[in-house]
Amino acid sequence: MHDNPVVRTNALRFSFPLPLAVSGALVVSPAARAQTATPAGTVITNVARLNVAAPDGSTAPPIVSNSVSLTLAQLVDVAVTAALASQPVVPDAAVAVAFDVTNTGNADDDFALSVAVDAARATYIGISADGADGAALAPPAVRLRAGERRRVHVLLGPVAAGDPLPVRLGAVAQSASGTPGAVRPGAGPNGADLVVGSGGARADAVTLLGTDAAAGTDAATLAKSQSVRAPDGSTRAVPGAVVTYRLVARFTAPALAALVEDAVPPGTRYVAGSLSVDARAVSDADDDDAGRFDGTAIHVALGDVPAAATRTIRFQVTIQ
Amino acid sequence: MFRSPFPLTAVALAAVALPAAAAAAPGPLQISSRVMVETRARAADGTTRLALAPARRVVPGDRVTVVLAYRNTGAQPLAGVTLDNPIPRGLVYRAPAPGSAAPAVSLDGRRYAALDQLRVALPGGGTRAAVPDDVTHVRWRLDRPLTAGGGGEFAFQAVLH
Repeated sequence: MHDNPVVRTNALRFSFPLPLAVSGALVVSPAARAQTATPAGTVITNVARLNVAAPDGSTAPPIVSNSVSLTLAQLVDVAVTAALASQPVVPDAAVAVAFDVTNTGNADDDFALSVAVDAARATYIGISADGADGAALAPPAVRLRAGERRRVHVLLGPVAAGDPLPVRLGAVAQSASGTPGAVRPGAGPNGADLVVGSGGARADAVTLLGTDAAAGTDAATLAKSQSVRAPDGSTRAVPGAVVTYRLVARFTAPALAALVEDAVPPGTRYVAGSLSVDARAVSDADDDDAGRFDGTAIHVALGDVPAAATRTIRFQVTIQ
Repeated sequence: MFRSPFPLTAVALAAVALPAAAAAAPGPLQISSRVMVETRARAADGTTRLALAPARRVVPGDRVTVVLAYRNTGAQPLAGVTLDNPIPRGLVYRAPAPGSAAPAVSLDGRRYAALDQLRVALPGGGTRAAVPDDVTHVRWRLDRPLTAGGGGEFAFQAVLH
């Protein structure tokens, strides 16, 4: 006779922070989907028509005006935002600080990136455009399509304890920068002029790194609880009983690309379609929503989570 | 008769504009269009005045004023005159220019009405009120015959997208 199946406290992995590239399932933000501006160099032609009714009531062919053509100049500008205004760091661990760089102009451009950080407090390693684990860009620059936004990570060595440490990422458009409104005639596509945008085609943003140990280690907690419902209506853990797991992630500090993974315990089978985040169902497939089940574990990408936030994940298994 | 709302008569056509006669059919009616931008000019008394100048260099977000000028150069009055302006791609209609009569607008180039009388069908059923972004054509109708030698201007504002 076999032993009764036992529901074991299954292994739990809570990763924080994890590189965005690993999570891979974040919903595209509205800003990234925003309609892009008309491309630089586009010729916009206006023609008016004049119609006059003939004496017999019929309509004569319209009289067409001159055409006025405007060639849309190349607007060069950039925006930089910090993913987090402040970010807790763990002592003695390398740090990746996320920023978003957006080409707010209307043509493709290269943007040179630079970092300002107190070298006495942290070693600057480089800038990655390929997640927090990515290689440092050499040279530190990204090419962005018109309207494109790219997340980059400033890679630092361990941060020495002390006051909050500002990390500044700057971006400068390579086609032109400087005085807003400055013009380079004919420098744009199709012979269009090039105009420096209102931001001077340069921008920067700052994240404060906090070395407060408490903030670093207790930035997030994950509490797991379970409830059992047996076929006979009891709460006994018998074959056929359904176990509902509830994972509550509490964030005391902002988190980047938070990911929750939880393996289904041996002796149980995952109930297809039972995964939800904050009472909203997410599919088991590896698709655009935040969650998936890979056959052995559930994976939920919570994305960037602000401080003082709570996320509740539920899923069910059946005891075999 | 509608008179020019702008002190534009002394302003030359934009360098990119062809002479009106080059495109207009011969006949007693002439129409020309020009695209102007607002410029701020510092006056001698220190104040800043807005003036319209031919658009030469435009970037997305710039506001322009499209001016249509028409004239009956014949000896006979002409009745039933309408002026149409399809909104070109890259321009988004905003409003009649200050001082200009409001045009009838269209969302499809066929049916024209005041903007507040038009609605847009929604993909999931139902409708919503039309907004300036929806406008694809504007039209002015002269409600009286255009006298010999008479003319005028209409204008609308648009934004480069």
